[in-house]
Amino acid sequence: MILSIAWKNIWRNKVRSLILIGTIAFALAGTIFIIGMMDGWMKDRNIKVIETELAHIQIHNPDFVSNLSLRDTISSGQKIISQIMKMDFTMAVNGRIKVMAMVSSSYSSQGALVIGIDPDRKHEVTKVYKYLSDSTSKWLDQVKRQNVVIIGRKMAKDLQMVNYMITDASLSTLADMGLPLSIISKLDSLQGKKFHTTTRFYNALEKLLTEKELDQYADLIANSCHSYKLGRKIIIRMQDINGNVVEEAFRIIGVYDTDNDLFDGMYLFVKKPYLAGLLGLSHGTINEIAIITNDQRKVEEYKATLKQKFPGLLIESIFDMDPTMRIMTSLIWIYYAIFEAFILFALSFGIVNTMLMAVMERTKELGMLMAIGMNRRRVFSMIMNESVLLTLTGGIIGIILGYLLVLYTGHAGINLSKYAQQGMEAMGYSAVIYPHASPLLLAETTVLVVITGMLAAVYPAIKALKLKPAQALHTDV
Amino acid sequence: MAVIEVKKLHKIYKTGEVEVHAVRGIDLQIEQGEFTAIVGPSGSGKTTLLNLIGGLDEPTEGRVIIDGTDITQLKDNQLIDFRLWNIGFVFQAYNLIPVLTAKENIEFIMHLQGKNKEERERRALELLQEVGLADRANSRPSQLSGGQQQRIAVARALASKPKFVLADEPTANLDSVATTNLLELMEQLNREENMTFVFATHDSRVIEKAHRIIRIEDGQVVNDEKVK
Repeated sequence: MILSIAWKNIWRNKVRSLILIGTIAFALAGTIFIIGMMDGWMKDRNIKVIETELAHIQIHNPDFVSNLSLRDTISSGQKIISQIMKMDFTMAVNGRIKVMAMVSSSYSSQGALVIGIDPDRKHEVTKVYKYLSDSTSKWLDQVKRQNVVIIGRKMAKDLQMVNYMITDASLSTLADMGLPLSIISKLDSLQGKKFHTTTRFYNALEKLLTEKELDQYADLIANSCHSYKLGRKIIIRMQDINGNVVEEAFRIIGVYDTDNDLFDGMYLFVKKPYLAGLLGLSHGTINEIAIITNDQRKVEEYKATLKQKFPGLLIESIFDMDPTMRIMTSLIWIYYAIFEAFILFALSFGIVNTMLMAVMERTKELGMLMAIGMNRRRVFSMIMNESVLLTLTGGIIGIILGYLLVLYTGHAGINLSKYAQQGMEAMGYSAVIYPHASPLLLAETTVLVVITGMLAAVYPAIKALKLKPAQALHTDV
Repeated sequence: MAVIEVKKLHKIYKTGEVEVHAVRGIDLQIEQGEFTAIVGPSGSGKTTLLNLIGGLDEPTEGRVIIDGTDITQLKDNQLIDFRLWNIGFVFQAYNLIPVLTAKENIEFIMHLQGKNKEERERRALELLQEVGLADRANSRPSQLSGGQQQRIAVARALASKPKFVLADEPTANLDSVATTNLLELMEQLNREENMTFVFATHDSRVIEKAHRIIRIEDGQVVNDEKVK
C-alpha cells in the first residue's frame, strides 16, 4: 500500500514530475548512447586485434621476442599444437612463421613483418580474410600459385600500389557522403583520368582545390576513387635460417583493411609452406603459436595452465602483449561507471529539489499521517519509494531510448571518416563506429539509477522525519 | 477506571526569549463512553490540551495516563505505535490522504496495524455503511464535500478500534447541515457503541450536543460540568 501511495503521490504534480522524468530520461539516453559508442568502438578494436594480430594467447621461444631471429623457433611445435588442440578451452590453434623483411615496389620500399600462415582459412586463427578490402581481393586459399601475398591498405598506399580514377560512381558516392556540390563540380574535370600513384593524384587535386578544401576533403576523395593494383608484384627481402639474404617476387592477390594504420602498414601474409622453403626451414617449423580460447575473460587462467604444461616457452596473453586491451575489457567498466555516476550526481540535485518540494508542501498531510500512527520507518520508506519510482521511471525511459538509439546506430553505423578518418585509423580505431550496449551496461545503469533515487531521497526524508505532528498539523504552507 | 487521566499537566512554549504557558497544571479524568467538549476562546489552550492527551506533543510537566499507560514515559516510536492502536483522530482539515479513495483511506490505518486485506475491506465497508457513505467508497477526497470528508475521517478514526476519539475543531469548516449530520453520527456511535469522544471546539452547535463541558481559560480548567 505504501508503494501504491508513493506512486500515486508522484502524479499529484504532473508537470513537475514529468519535467524531472524527462530530464532524467534524456540525460540517461545520452549517457547510454555515448557509452554505447565507446563500447562499440572498443569492441570493434578488441575483435580486430584478436582476429588479425594477437589472438588470445601467443607462444614463442623466449629468445625470439627480443631479437626476432629465425633460429629461435619452437621445437616440437607441431606436437605442442596437437596437445593444445585437445585442451578444453581451445577454440582454434595454429602455428605461424613470423619474419622481418624489406618490401619493395618499383616506387618505394619499407620494413615489414611477413607472416607465414596456413593457406586454408578453415585452419587458421588469423581472420584477416574477413577484412579484404573489396570483392576483387582474393585470399591465399583461392589461388594455386605459391608466391602470392596479401598486404594491408596502408602498405598498398605506401608502396604506391593504388590507382586513382574519378568516375560517375565515385562522384555519386562522394555526394552521398556529404561532399559539397561545389567541390564535386570541380572534380568533374578529372573524370576518367587514371593516376598511378598517390602523389600524382594529390598533385592533381592540389591544382583544383583550395588549401582548406584539400585539408578537409582530399583523403575522403582519395578513398572513394581508388583501386588496388592487384596482380602487380612486390619484392620481399629476408634473411634465411643461415643468415643469407633471400629475395623473392610475390604477386599481390589481396588487400586487407582493418582500419588500423599501424597493422595495415606493417603486416603481410604469405603461404607458410612456401615461406618455410624460401627461408630454408624444415617442414613444420614454426616460431609462433596463436590460440583462440573459449572465453577472453579467462585468458590469464588458461595462460597459467599452459605455462605449467610448457615451462620452457614464453606464453603471453593478449593483455601482456597489448596492455590497452586490459583497459578495454575490464577497466573501461570503471570508466563507464564513473561517467554515469557524474551524470546521475548532477541529476540528483534536481531529484533532491523535487522531493524537498514534495515534502514541504505536504507538511500537514505528513503531520496527519504521523499523528494517526504511521511510524518513522514507514514515512521514510514512502518518501524513499517516491524518489526511487520517480527516478526509475525516468531512468527506464532513458535506458530504453538510449538502447533504441544504440540499436539503430549500431546497425547503420556512425561514419566519422569525414571528420577524423586519418587520425583515428592512425591510432588503430575505425572511423565508422557501431555503437553497442551490453546487458551489463543496462543493468549497471539501472542499479545506479536506483541508488541515485535512494540517495537523493535521504535529505528530504530526514526533513520529513524531523516534523512534529502537532506542529506540522498547524503549519501554514 | 478512567480511560483518560491527566495529572498536573503543564505545557510551556518557548518562542525566543518569550515563554507561553499554554497549559497550567490541569487535572482531569474522562470515563469510557463520555461525550466531552473542551471549550474556550482562541488561545485558551484547548488544542494544546487535546494534543497532549493524544500524545502529539510532550508536556513540560505532569502525566497523561491512557487506560493505565503513562504515555509521557513512552519513547517516540512507542508513542506512535500507541496512538495507532489506542487513539482515533479527527482533525479540522487535511484528514485524508488525497491520492486514496474513501475506502482506501479507511483501510490505510488498518494496513498500518498489519491487518490482512480481507479484514480491512470488510471493516472499511462496514464503516462506510455506518457513516452513510457506502455509495462513495471509490471517491477520492477531492470528489467529496467537506461534511462527507469529515464522516470518512470519523470512519477512519474508528477503523483502528481505538479506546477514544479526539476531534480538534471537527466542524470548523462545515455548514450547519453538515455539522448537524456529523454530530448526529458521532452521538449515534457514542450511544450505540459506547465510543468515547473528546472535542476541542468553540462551535456552539457542538457544545449543545456535549454531555460534559470542560471550560478552559488561560490554560486552566475554569469549569467542568456534566450537562446530560
